[in-house]
Amino acid sequence: MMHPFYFRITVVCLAGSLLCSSCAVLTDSQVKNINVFATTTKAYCGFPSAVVKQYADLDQTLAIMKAADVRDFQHVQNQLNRARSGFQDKMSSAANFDLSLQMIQKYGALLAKLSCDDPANNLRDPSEDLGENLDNAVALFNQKTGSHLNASLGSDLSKLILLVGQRLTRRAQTVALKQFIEEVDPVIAAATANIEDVMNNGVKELWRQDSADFENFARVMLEHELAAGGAPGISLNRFEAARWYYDQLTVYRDADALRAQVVQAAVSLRNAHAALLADIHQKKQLKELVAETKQFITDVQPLGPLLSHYIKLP
Amino acid sequence: MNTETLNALKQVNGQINQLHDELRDPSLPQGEIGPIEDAIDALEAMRDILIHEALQSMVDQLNQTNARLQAVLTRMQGVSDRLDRISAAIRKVSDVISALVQITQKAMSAGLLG
Repeated sequence: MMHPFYFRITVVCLAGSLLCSSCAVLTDSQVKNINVFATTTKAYCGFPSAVVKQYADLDQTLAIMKAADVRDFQHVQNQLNRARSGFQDKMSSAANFDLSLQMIQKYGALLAKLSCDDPANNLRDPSEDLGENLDNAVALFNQKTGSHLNASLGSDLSKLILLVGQRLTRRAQTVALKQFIEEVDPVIAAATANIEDVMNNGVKELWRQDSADFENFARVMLEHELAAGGAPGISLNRFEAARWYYDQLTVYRDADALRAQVVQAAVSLRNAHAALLADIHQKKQLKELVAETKQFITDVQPLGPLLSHYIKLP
Repeated sequence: MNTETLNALKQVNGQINQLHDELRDPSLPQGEIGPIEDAIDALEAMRDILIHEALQSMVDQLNQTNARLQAVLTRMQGVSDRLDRISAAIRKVSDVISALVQITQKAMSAGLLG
């Protein structure tokens, strides 16, 4: 059985480790920010491909309109075949538009995993078992030797081991998180800048050209419809033609709004990560220190009476 | 950004539109319809290639950062695994101490110690 003196030394060492390690642990708000970031990236990672799929759909409609404008059946057939293969090609490309965001999503998930309590909490069960066994051993020791060691000595020690283990694990998590967040920030800035550039220049220009061609072909088609025989004024055919034109224009407008939303989301993603980085750096500011201290007090409070038995608390 | 490809696409689209305008002309001689539609076919094929190239160029741009990010992800996974291993090791130590305490306890009960 451990001599009370050695036991006291052990407790002091563990408490010292606890105090030293606590200063670098993430606050709840930082962990929350990380989780919010991870959730946001998960929701966002399919947006760019949706824009390209929408473009594929609209370009296919344009291709079919063009096919309807040629006279020879073989040429109509060629145009329709091309409409189909072009659509499939664009849909295949669409998936590759999400790859960088899927990686950012994985990064977010790993950040969340590194900031979670699981590795630290995994220590709880064995520590509790140890505490129970130590308590029994202390009781037996008292009985056999006539000593008067505190009956809860074992469980108190195991609680302290658990707390130190959790703190050390969280400290390792924090060091890793800080390093990765700093390292990845410029990568995310570059990735989201690329999304902005592609959406604001490449995709927008493709749509602008398609939209102009669509309006050109639609105008000719509507003019033919309006000039077709029959009584002047409204008719079901004319209403349906006008309705179709209106709906298609709405689709183009919505598609451009979707593109703009993707750009906005990319900016938000970049800002969210920059805020995360700033959050980590601002940790030493008074507000964060107070929050951190509060967190520390919350963690340590239940152990206050125990610690006061073995070390002189300030 | 693939400005040249997009400019070329704009020119091809303009030519296709122009040929469609000619095709709609009622005074177009019958003999010219076939060659114009062949030209439209050829230009449409070119258009598809240009769009494919433009999209591929965008994909390449979007994925420029993937290798750097993948390297970090691999290291992050490594750290995560290491933390799991540390946690498992602490658990194991705790279990071993617990077992030793039990043995000592049994030894004391049996009068072998104390």
